[in-house]
Amino acid sequence: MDEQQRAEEHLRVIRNLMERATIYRAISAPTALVGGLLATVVSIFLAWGMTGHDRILANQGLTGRHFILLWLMVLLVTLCANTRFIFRKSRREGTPLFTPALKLTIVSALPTLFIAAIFTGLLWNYDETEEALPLLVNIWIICYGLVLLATAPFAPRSLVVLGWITLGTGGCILVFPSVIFRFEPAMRAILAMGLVFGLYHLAYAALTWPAKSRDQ
Amino acid sequence: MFDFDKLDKAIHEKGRLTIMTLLATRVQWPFQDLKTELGMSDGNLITHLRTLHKLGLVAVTKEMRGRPQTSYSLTAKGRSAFQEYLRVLEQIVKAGKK
Repeated sequence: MDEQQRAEEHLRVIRNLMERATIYRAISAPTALVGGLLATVVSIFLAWGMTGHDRILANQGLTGRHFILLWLMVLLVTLCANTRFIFRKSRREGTPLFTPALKLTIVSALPTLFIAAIFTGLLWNYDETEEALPLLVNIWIICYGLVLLATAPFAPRSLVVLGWITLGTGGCILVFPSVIFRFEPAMRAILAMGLVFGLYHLAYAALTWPAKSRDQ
Repeated sequence: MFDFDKLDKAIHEKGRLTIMTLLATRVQWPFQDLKTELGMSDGNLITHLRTLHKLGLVAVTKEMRGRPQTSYSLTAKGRSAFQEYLRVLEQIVKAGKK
């Protein structure tokens, strides 16, 4: 190998290492697909329960605790799927499961997740009426946007864009609530969840999947 | 003809180059994280880090975080040496293409 080939090889090593050390996709396209599909299905099911001809949920009353439990289950399934995808990737590439980049992502996200957990706990304990649901959902959306943006220094551009769109949506719902105010409180919460955690993630999965294939 | 002596031989070795590259991406790297990211053995990594430290390219910080933790970072001299090394590499590639 002559010196020029060696120089090119070294530049390639440097570029790959820098990308690996500085860019980390906390939400992969498959995870977004699983989470987006689940959130969309759950939102449609809840909306049907509120407006369908039987109006099962509307008649029985959708309590805050039911709502929180249901969405925590969606979060749990999505996190399990994400762990499975990360595990498979680490086995395929022969790298450890708990990489420094993953550790950095978790540390960056924890403060905002803590705030979301406190508000969720408060609603769980003190106000389980459906009137409080839109505010809780708004807090979840804003906190989720902030979590994504907290990883901005080492996240790919697509994830930062998703963060800003999510945060912007949370802000818009808070500042201009009249757009969805004509619905009942529970319905407003369901629509917002379906939009942000369902449709946005399906769009993210669709847009980032081709880029992932190209990289491979 | 390009003068290859301009290349910093301490950084040009592949193991040390990967260490310098990682150190250039963050303010500080704990030893364990460097080892995880590079997949090197303890002995190999320590030997390269000692060489770089002796040359004044890398700084060592020892802290107690429940247990002793050693972290590494680039010194000002190390950062400029790495930038200079990159510049020379680019020149070699450009010279070869002409």
